[in-house]
Amino acid sequence: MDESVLIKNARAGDLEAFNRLVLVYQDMLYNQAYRVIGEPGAAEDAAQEAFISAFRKLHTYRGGSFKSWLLRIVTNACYDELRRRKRKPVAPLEPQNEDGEEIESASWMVDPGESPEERLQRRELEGAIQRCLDKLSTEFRMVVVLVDVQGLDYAEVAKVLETPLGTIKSRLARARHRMQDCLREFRELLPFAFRLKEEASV
Amino acid sequence: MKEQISRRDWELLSAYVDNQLSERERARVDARLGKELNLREALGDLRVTRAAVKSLPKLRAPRNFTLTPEMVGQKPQGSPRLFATFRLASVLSTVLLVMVMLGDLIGFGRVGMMPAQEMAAPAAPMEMEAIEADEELETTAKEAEADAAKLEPDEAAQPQAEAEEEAQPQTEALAEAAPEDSVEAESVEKETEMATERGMEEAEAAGEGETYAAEPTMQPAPTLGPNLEAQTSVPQGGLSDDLAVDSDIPQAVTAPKPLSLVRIIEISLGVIAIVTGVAAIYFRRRKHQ
Repeated sequence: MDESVLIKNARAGDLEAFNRLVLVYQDMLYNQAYRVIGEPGAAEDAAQEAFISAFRKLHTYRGGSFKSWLLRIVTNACYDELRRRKRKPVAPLEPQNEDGEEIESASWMVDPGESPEERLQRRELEGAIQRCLDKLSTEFRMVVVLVDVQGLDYAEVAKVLETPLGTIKSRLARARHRMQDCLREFRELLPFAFRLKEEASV
Repeated sequence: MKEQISRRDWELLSAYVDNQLSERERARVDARLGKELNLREALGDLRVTRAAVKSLPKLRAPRNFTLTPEMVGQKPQGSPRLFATFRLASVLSTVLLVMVMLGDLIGFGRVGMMPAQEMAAPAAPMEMEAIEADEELETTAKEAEADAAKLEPDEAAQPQAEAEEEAQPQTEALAEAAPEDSVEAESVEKETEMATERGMEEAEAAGEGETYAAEPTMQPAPTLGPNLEAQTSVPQGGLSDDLAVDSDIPQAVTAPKPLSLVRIIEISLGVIAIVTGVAAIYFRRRKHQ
């Protein structure tokens, strides 16, 4: 069914119509929450809270990009979650084995097409990037994730974050600069072919 | 060398890799990139950083985030109430259906004759019209008899035929005037017959009177209007042959019998019982989903 029809029905209180929208956007919202918060359990909570909040605030949706509107809500949910975590710090939920030791690569994260070395390298790289993201301030992290993970353009990000376009440009540039400095520590993890392509394109 | 890149240049390069510069700004950056090595190196590093973040895998939600009515403070949909309502309606209509069917079996079904009895009532005023028409017909027949007496025996047949033709439409009119009352219709037919016979005394040799007498007066009295109407709808130019053929019509025509009141009630209750039963099942399933 057409998205606008589902939104219209959901605004009229049709929970089934809204749940169909949830199924469409839940991966996007979870990714946003996970990349901003950096912890799966908290990201789940934020995504769920965002959908509940979206259903309740559906009457405030004034058309335009529904994706951007949802991203704004999940961004606010992430801010709330981060504030809550700052007040009550929680240990990150990492996959552990029977002895309570952290598992490098939990079974549900394994890609069966990868060799063990590739898997290890991918996991390390992903972990490094996420750690660098986590080191950024929340404002910078939000912009980087919205542009580079969600693929929004600057104008959309400005709408989502309700921030001037110039500020978005500036924050993104500074965030990338800090990310670059951070990733330099993990440079050996970055794929070699990937770097060659980047250098060749200049 | 990279430290020499100003913050403004870094912002320009960041927007450049995202293709967020105007054509003019982009042309200016392109021109500088051709001349400044440190700018090109900074652009390379920026692209690697950007590509690294973009390479983060798209995670799938670990579970569905669909909402339940409780989550959003909605009362569960009216299924339980609707289910109870439809269930009650189904049970009541089934009980009523059984009662009506039992009543029908033990004699209440006589109500089914009601339509025919009710239909007989409006025939009373028509009865008066039939008597008047009968008298008129009789007068016409007597006049025809008197005229025939004055004429020669050969010519007598012609006025007789005319009188007969005159009488025929009147007979039809009579039959149509009282379509419902079979007894009255029968008596009218008999009287018409007698009047015609009186006017046909001299033409009896031709045998027409006998065929006329073969009119469907011997037919069993029909109980319902349509049968009688079918029986009396004789063609306009109907003579003895036509009438003889038409006398078979009541047996051949099988007019649809209207449903009695009891049958209508039974069917309605049956339909209501089924529809409400199905609705109750539907709402029960929705409730348990």
